[in-house]
Amino acid sequence: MGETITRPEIDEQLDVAVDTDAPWIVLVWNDPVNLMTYVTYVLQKLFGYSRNKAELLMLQVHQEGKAVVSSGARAQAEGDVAKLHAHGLWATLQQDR
Amino acid sequence: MALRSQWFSRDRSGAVRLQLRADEAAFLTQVIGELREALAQPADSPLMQRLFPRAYLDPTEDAAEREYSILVNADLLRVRLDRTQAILDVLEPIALRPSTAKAVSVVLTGEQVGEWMGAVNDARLALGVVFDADEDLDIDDLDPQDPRRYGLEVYDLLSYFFSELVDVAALSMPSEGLE
Repeated sequence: MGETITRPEIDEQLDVAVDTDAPWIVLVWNDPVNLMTYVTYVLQKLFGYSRNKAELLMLQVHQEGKAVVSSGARAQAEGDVAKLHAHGLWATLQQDR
Repeated sequence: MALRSQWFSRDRSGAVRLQLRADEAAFLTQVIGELREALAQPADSPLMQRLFPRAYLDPTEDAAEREYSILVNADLLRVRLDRTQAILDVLEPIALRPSTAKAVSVVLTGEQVGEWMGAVNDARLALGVVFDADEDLDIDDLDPQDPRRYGLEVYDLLSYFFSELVDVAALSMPSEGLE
């Protein structure tokens, strides 16, 4: 019986630990104003992506409505969102769980 | 303002060169001046919410959103005001020249290219909110008396100008990079 009670507690703690450690992702959302060439330019400039990678992300934003453009610790993701906002892109961060 | 191409070009040294006539500079002075005024709107106006969007969509992160807003938005407002002023300092003397004068050529530093790009795109974002711009909307489909028409014509003209700047700036971007 004791073992039966203990196991769910351990599992729950593990779940919490996994959620807390999950990386933060930065999403860029589609909007009707930003030009496709500009979004590509900004993604290359801010993240050092190749033109090919930046264009693929831009097309994902345009066609699917959003794309993950970076990930990492919360503070880094917030910094990336702030840079994207300064460039006029609509960006948000959230934990990847 | 008559539409023409080649406001922006790259010279042999790789620098970005801008050529503007007095009427074009006057048009841009008015647009950027109106953007500066718009930046004084309340934070909850649709325009300000587009220029300073939420960082967190999840409502359980509202405390983090408030912290982000305090940390980032005041700085971002100052950046936006500084870059509009920087380009107004270039535009205003050109706008005061006689209308018959030849276009003025200005070489932009890399920092100035960023300022122009940021300010002109901010103006497009603002016009886009105010006049409900949509990539599928054709101005010619609007009634001639439609009050959105003039604003969307300004938006379109600014978009041509901005697009040319992006194309010229992108020439300096290497095709190689992180995959």
